[in-house]
Amino acid sequence: MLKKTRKINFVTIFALVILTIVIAMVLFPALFTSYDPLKVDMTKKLLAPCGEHILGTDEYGRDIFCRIVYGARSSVCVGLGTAILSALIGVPLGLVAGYYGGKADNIIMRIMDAFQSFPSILLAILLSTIFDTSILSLILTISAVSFPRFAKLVRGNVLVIKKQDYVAAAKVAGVSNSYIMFNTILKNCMSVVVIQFSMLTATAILIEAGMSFLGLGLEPPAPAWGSMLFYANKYVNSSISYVLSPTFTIFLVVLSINLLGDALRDILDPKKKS
Amino acid sequence: MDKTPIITLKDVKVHFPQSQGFKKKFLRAVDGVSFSIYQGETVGLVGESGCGKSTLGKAIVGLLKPTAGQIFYHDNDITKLKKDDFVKYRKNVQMIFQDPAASLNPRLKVSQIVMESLLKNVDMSKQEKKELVKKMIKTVGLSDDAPDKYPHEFSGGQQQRVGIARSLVLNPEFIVCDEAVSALDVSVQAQILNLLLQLKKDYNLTYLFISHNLSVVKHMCDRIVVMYLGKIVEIGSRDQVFENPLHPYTKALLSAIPVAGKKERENRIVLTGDLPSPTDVIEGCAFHNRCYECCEECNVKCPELREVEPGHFVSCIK
Repeated sequence: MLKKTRKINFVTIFALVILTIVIAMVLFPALFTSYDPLKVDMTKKLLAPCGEHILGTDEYGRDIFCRIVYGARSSVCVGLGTAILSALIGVPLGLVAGYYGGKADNIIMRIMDAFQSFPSILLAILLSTIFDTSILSLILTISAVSFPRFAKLVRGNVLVIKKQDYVAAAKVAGVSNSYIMFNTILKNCMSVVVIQFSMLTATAILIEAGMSFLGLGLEPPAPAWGSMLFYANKYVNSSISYVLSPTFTIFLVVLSINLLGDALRDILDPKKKS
Repeated sequence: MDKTPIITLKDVKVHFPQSQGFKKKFLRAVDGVSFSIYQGETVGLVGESGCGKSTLGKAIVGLLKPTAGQIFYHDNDITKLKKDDFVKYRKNVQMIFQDPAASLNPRLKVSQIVMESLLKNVDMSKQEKKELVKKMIKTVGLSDDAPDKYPHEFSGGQQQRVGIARSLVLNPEFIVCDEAVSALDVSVQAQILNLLLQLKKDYNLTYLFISHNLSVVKHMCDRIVVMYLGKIVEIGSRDQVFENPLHPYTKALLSAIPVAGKKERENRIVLTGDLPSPTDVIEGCAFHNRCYECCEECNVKCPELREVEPGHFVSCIK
């Protein structure tokens, strides 16, 4: 038993360390590297990892490690921003739809269907013509197609939980409907919200990559993990470290977020504490 | 005993709409129930599964809205109460649930669960509330470290004690015990029942005791209401119902109580047939298809509740 808790702690600490480093990259990128992420040096293009450039250079001779460090800001902002915005909109909608049922449920869920069936690429083109492509417009676009997932997931859970006796007991205790929704019910479906949150963070980073590829993401010179990955595709044969660097970075960060989500779910569940 | 009614039910009906294809049917869970519950007594509500006992209990505490009829608390019709007045009503009428594990929020500590009752509509400072919660948890016989534990750390009996503390903390007049002990071990049942009796004395409570366990009802209750298919078939004091059951359904129920010794078992009444579907409209007496004393008239005429002796009502033609 003791061994098991230790193992969980180790995994959690690993995830925390990775995420702390990433957050430090977001806040103080200059601490990690002395290069300029945008500086082009055609004499040094597609170098293999060496002492000077620990992850090598890309097709314009820019330091890859440096671009990964500076790319953290846009990737993490898009990932977390999307997850937070989607959760903030989707969770209350799901709670209301599931708890009140009937007409409210029907109206909210049909709107969710409409949002989900809207092609995200089209929406992205639309938004990028209205606004300049920026981190914010990316967050808005990805959130617009993602938040219905939260709403539907939460609604499904609410439908199960609201039939429980403890919800009836809370009603008999005389607490208000909003208290029941946001305390009694939300607390009991927190685990799925946390898991969905970590999954969406990961997905959003990947969607950002896909949109960069289509020219709907951040403008090319700006560093972002997703766009790096797609530009690196062409150079798989000449420089393996170019492809692998953003791949592993995305992999590590997504893994850490998921692990942290799992740990958080366990912490929130009193049955798993002891 | 003081004879002022706390709760008076007048022709209460709770119907649930059920759509089967294009036809709309109604499940008549409670179909025209009238009786009164007086200050200080314990009324037992018995009947088989699906006869509407729990539905009636839920309607009384306001978890379900009656389709028709009135429920009076003292002189106020609770089906017409405004929101603010209803909150006051909630304070006085509480419920203890059947499954103690399912009725406690697994994410809250015991102290938070009991505190939940005090969140609204109680004029007290935070400190007073905390003191009261602590006192209540002690009153129901839980240890000092209980407030900081989670429900899953307790046994079924202790969980039910938490449920009792939660409803008692509002200092209610009337508590609906919906099968409050049927989910517990027999040995624990006795403890909880004695606790309920003790609390009744200390806090001057009135109970509606919903149960299918007749031995428990005999131990607890002053008056007994027997329900069958959403209707009352017999009301009487405990002695009247147990010594002199008049309705054939009550007789069958009583003969089903297990008794030690073989002789008694021989005159057990075994009912044949199934409970009719509560969605069907039954002509005549609801019990006629299973009744062993059924006659021609029973198929046609729906019997009214009539007083046979003082306080003893039965709805049977004979």
